[in-house]
Amino acid sequence: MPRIEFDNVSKRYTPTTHAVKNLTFAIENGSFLCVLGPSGCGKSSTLRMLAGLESITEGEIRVDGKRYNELKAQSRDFAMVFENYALYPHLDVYGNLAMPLATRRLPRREIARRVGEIAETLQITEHLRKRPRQLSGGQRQRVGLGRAIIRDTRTFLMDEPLGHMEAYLRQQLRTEIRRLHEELGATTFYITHDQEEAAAISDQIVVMSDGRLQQAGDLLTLLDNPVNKFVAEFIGNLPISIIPAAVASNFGVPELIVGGARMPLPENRASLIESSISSGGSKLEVGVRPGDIELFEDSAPNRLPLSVTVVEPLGDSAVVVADGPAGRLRATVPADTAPPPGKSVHAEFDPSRLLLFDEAGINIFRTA
Amino acid sequence: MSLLREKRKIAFAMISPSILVIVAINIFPIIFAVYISLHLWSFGRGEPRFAGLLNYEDLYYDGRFIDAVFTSAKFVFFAVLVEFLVGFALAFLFNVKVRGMATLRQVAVLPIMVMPIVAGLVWFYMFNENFGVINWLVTLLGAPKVGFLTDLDVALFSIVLADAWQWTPFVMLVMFAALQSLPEYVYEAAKMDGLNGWQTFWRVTIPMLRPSIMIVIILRIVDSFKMIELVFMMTQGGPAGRTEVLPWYLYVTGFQGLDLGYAAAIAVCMLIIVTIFTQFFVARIGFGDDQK
Amino acid sequence: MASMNFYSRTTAAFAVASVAASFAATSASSEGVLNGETIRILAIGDPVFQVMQRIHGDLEEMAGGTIELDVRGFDVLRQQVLLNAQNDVSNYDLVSVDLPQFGEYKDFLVDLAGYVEESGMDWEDFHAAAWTGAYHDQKQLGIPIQPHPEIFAYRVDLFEEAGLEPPRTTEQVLAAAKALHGSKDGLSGICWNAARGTPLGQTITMVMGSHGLPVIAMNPIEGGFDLGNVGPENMHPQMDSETANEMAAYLMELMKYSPPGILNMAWDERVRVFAQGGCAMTYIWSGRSAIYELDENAEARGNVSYLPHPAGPNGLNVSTLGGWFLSIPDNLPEDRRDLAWSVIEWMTSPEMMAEYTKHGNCVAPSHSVSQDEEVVARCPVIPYVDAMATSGEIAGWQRPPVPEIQQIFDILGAEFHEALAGAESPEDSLMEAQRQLDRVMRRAGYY
Repeated sequence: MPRIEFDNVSKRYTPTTHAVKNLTFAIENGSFLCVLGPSGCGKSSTLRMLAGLESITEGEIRVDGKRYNELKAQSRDFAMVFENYALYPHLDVYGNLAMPLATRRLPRREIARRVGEIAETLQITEHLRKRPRQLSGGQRQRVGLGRAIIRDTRTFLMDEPLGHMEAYLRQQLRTEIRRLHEELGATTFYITHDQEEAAAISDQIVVMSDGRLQQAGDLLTLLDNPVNKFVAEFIGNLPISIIPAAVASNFGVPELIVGGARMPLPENRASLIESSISSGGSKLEVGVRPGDIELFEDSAPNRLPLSVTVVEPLGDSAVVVADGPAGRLRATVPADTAPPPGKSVHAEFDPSRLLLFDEAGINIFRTA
Repeated sequence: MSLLREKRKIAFAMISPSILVIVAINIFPIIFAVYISLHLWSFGRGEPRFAGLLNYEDLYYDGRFIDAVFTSAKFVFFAVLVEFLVGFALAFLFNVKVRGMATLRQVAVLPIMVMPIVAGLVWFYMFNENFGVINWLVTLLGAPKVGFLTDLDVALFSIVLADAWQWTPFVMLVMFAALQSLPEYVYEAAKMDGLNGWQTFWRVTIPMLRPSIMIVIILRIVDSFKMIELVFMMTQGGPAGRTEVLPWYLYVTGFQGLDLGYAAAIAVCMLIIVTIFTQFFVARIGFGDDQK
Repeated sequence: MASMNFYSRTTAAFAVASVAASFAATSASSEGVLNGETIRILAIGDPVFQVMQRIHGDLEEMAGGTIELDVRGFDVLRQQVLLNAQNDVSNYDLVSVDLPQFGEYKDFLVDLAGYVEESGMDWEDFHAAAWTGAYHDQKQLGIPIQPHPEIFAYRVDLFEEAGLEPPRTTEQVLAAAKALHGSKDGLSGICWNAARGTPLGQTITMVMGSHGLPVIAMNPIEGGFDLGNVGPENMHPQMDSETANEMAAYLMELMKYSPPGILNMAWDERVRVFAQGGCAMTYIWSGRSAIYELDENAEARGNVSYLPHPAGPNGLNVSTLGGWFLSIPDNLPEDRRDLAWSVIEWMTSPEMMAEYTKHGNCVAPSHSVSQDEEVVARCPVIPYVDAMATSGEIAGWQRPPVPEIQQIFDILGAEFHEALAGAESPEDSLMEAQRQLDRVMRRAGYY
């Protein structure tokens, strides 16, 4: 299985606007890598450069150490799955599945055998004589997947393959994709803007924004140790709360001041403050995830006074949206203990899980 | 319920004039042609006399009619073939994004604007052996004059050429529009499936263009089958009947000979022939999933 | 405009008062035949009516009224005449009729004999063949306005140079053609109508006539065949005759001495090729000699002499008369007929005939105009035609005036083209033509 390297790759469509800037990372043999990012972040351009559908402006893409920049798409031996399926409208499912075999001189029976096999695997055998427009989105993408795997390529490129599908179908199919990956062991380069999907399906996630690589790692790393405010905000099922904060010294030990509450910090975090913040004048913000907030009726010095604005029930739990002078917070609580709107509450943060962003948005508390 | 019925009545009243117009314009002439074809009727020489299938029987034994059927077939085949191949190739050429192509494209469609009868006149003079510019050029090159309109083996192809001059741009235009509307993603899929340019052309481009190809071929078959102006202006069916296509024979019998019954029988036969041919292609317009 | 009218009227009055009686006709027309009225004419796109279109303003001024000329092509004109005949009331006061069409139209044209007599028209001044061409079933169905014969033109200069006699027989034609063909760069022997269809069909009927027989079995009369009485028994085609074979052999021989493109040559093209020196002889409708006589750049100008159609081995020197007549449709209301007649009288008057020759129409079907020196200077062909008319070398029976005449032209012109193009033997072509003509006559119910 090939190892794919991006070495300082850039893509410009006009001389001044970068779609992708100085991208450097590698996909290990046989691993499943997700590129995660909001739309317009350059993830599609990255994939298309790898596929050979777009030229590379600067830098180099290497596969197993070999420079691929000038290699035609047809010669790269990658299989691709498209967001809009990109099936051949004039061919039935059988014809679509057989197309990648057209380049080889295979006997008709061999083609039929392999198409049958693939159709069996993807449970589309009964649709073989249908045309793409007679299929549902999920069925179409199964065909798209089948077309990709029928060739025995060792690398799959998938460009938001589940993007156009309903939620339940998405879950079904992503399991399928992961299963296929386990079975085939091919290197897979997968693009999505859905972090849950990325987490569920991949070995490694690369977060992109503004054409740049932000952070690579598994989901837990990205959640607990985001490199910056963008990643912190982008990752996480429920949005992180970010409010202004200041650092004060309590007999030489740094504390966080958040909206009047004084929050002592554990040793390891306090030391990070000491080493990175020389003056107390810089603008800081604290980030806290909903699960790391506890709500109390009583006040305390380390608690932030707030008033409940909205309660969003989520089944077992509920999200309490509360506002205070410092800003807005979101906290998850067990559904039966959710305070009613209008009620005053006092929020206490889990100090070991706080994130602290400097003026540039860099996470000061990043530990890993 | 009664309101609905009332509405239906009004709706019917509203559309009935257009239905009548359609019947009058499309159906009536055909029925009338069939009716006349069952009669002996020379215009200006008395009332039509019922003759049953006599006109058709006479047609069956009319060697000139049979010859005209084959001449028409030959003309349609070669005209449509040339127009399609050249027009198709031009469409690809014009699809290339090069500066100036748009202007060239606009110039290329000019022949469509010319009245066919004028095109016929122009080509008649160009091919003429005594005054024609083409034979002048031929003699400049030291070759003997060519009987473009008088040589038994050449004349029909001169008319094919004139027809192609006029209608190739039309094919080009339709195919160009069809090419422009092909989705880009299919080509990306083809690339990723490892197809080279040639394979992509035959396995993707051509099949996806099939509806447009069929439509343009149908239109050209029907239209070239009806072509009369070029023959009228250039050869009047000569030499030795080699360019006597059906519409010209119909004109000669109906509008010069005024044998209306006979001409109507020819018209009915033409209608049947063209219907059979076009239905063959119409059935092949779609990708085929309607046949399921 | 008003002052102009006043001027012409006063001069007319002066003319009537002071000049000889032979000018009375002129004065009458100057009064204005229309008197402010409108006349509608269904006309053919042939030279005489094209002249009328060109001088339309002057013409209306002379007539003192409005002249509506609807000029049509040959086929369309025929259809319109036939359609108009089925109307209750004619849309036109006058229609133009080609000589061979009288047979087809005779049942719905007004007999003009009464008007001729009443108005004292000098009908004997018209060429006899032209006048009698419109005489059918004891009725005068039209008055000649542009009848002219198809005659034979040859280049006097070339003939003298080569020491050749004027060709009065087909044998002489072939000998001269052989001698002159290719004797100069770009010079062919003879130009003629060999294009498929009507042009060749007309050639065949006329050349067969000069070989001594019409294409259908008309009754022979002294000096020709009976044009005025053609019955069903006369409708049998004669393409299986010995004469037809002689005609065919002659045309096949002509092919050898014809210019390039002869198989598609028709009407004015042959005259143009002749005009620019492309051929030494040509068959020509006499009026079309204007093409070179009025063109200072034409090589043929001033070097041409004329003969009637050269005679075949057993035939006669007889040229075919054709061209146009003015007739009154019989569904024209009575109260319009006098006006229609006076317009015919005016348009066919010697003065107007002379006028037409000024504008490129070298036709003068009357003896008096043919002697007008100015006319002769403009159109050298006219005295030749006049002489032929006087000596009975012009006739109309070659193209029989039967309703099927157009089908006859078409069949002959289509079938014999096979022979000329070498796709079939002449014998087979004639046989096939005979078979098809027979079928047409049977379908028409003659026998």
